[in-house]
Amino acid sequence: MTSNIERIRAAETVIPQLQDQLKTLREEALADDGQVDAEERVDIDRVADKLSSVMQAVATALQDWTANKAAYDVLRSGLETRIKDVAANTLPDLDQDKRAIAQLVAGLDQVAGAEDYAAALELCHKLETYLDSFESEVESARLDAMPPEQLAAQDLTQCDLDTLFTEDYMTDLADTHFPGEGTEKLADLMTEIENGVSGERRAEVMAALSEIHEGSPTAGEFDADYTRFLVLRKQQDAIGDKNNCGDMEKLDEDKHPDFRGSRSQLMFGKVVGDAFDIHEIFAALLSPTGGLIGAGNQFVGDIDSPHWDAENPISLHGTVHDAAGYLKSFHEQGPGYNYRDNFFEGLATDAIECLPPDWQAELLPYTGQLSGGGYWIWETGGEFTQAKLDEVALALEEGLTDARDDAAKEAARMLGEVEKAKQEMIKTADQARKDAEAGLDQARREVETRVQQAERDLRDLADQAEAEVMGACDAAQQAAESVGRSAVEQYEEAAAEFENMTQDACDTLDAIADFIWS
Amino acid sequence: MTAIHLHPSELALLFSFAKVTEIVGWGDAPFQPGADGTGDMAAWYADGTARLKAAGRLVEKADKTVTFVPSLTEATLALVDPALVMMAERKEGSEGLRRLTVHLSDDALVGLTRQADGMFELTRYANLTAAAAACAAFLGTAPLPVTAGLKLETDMNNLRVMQTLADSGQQETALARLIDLGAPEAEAASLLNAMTAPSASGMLSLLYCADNVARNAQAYRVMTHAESDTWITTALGSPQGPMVIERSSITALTGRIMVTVAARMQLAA
Repeated sequence: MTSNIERIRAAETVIPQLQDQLKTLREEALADDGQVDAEERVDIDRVADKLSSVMQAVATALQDWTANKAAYDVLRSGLETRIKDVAANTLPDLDQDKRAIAQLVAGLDQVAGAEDYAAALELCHKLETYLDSFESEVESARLDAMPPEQLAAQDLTQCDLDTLFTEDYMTDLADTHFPGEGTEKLADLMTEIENGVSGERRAEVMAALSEIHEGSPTAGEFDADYTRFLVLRKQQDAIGDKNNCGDMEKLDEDKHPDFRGSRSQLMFGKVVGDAFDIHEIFAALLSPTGGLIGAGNQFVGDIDSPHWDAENPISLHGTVHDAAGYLKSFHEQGPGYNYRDNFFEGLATDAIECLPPDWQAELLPYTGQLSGGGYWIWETGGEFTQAKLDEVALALEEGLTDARDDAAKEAARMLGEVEKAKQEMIKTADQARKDAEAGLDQARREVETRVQQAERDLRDLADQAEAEVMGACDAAQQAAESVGRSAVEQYEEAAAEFENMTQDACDTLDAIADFIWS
Repeated sequence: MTAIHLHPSELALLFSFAKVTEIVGWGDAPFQPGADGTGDMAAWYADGTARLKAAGRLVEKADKTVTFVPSLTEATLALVDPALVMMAERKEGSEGLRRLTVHLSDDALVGLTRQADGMFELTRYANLTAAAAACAAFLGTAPLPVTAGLKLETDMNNLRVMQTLADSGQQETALARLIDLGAPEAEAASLLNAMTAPSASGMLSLLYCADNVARNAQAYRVMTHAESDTWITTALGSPQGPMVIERSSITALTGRIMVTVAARMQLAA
């Protein structure tokens, strides 16, 4: 049953005919002998079933038609202003797009005039996509006309960048595959795009990209993204110049012949593309070496397979690191290389979960009360800040005295229990050795039993103890032993190595370190 | 608790995949070829690759791509992007130190030491307790728990004066100052012994990091005398602010680190 109202209405006219037919059949059946025999029953049921089926189909079609009409009316009315804006636009470069939209609107009006709202709704969605692309082109043209310093000041991101650098986002990225990734066709198209395409060739390239993506996005959508890509590249140059970032590094195809169009490059493009709401292919080309796997990669290839695993978290880290840095350096957007969200939150939770519940209860109220002071710990400046920091630290020190004492007692208990068990084992083993030396069978049997029991006891103890009990003991023992094996560094050289510290952190350490090593 | 040994060239190769050259607590020099860091990087990476392959740490996946084994991947991520680095530096002679760093990330706690033969030892710790205990033990803290705790409050200037007095043979004056702070005489004598004639001493730094850079630091001076008495001093806030002197031990210091880290992280959250 179609949603076209004419056909629905035609179907509706069948209903009274079937009702009449059913009535006649019943009357005729009863007219002979006042009863409906089996043969007559078959005919009556057949018509009754058909009537029921037609009524249900008409009701469903009417319901769909009404819903489609309502949705269409809402969508279409929302597009009216945008359609008028397109008609009023005078940019000559967009004439072709204007014509395409006008044709689509005419076709849509025709379909809507025939009251086929299912088809009209579909066309309306298509029109919406066309309008999005058109408006993006108009906006890109407006941005393109700006002088570089004005363009540099624009925020061209289209999303909250905090959502881009989350653990969840990185996990999803690891599972993302891209149409055409790693193919020569895509690599060739990307080379062309990087060098610039125009006129008929531009349309062909966009159509080819759409074909690789099986029609979605459309060639028109790719084209709008390409226009925005050109604007972004212009902004990148403007901000790069301002910040003395130098020219954008070109991809060395001789050194990295497989990189263009690779999954790694498109992963980088995905992050940047999500920021600017453009396709990853164009976003990747904003920084052609973005996502290029580590410098050591070229030495990995000769194993058996030349392809590095793009999903390895280390290289994913490098890719997202590149994207965050690019957005900050060349568009002055986002958190920069410090890209992780809930960075401390997660760790704080982990650290607190290390503690038994009663310690947590003790700790949390203090940290909650002092959370306002947390800001001062991470931001520095001035005597007031220092005084505030000291005040907070002192309060925390006092507030957590009991928690520290408990933690120390627990650590002592852990170390003590394992040590005690070890001593028991040694004692039992010594006794066993002595008994065995006595050569008495009976004694030996008893000894063996005792040794076995001791082993079971120790195993039970290990099972009962939490993993951290054994871990902490082993770690302490191993660390104490490793002191003798570890290299002796020169203090002066060691101090010079702390390059990756902020000045505040260095100042704090220097004050103590000078004191200790002076 | 398994430890693995890696050549600096292997670590350099791993770090290159994360686009990182410097490691918090170590800088970049230990992972560069040649003493002055001007050696042949290509040969260095090639050497690292060959070593990783030989050790079975660079492997081929079912889909024919090449990758690092998961344990090494996890350890590398902790090293290149830590949230916290615990750096234990034990004094060795007048100008030397031995160093252990423990890097904490979301998924792993990895300890790093350089051995006398130039190889690095990576140790995976089960949890924060184990890592903190390792740092405390590395610094030679007293193994026996503290039975009678003592905590004194002072500041850096006073501490410097006392150290100078003790070092210059004016033990009595230094002792008097400690007693003024509230220390019983026997405790004050023990502290002075630890300050002037330690069997082990060093510094524990808690480095709070973001983007592979230490953004803030908290440092403890750790001094042990004759293996039985350990004392620590620490600035609670700024170096110019209040300082605490406290009797400690391996378990007391472990407890302090755990609680401090938990509280600090909660504050920053």
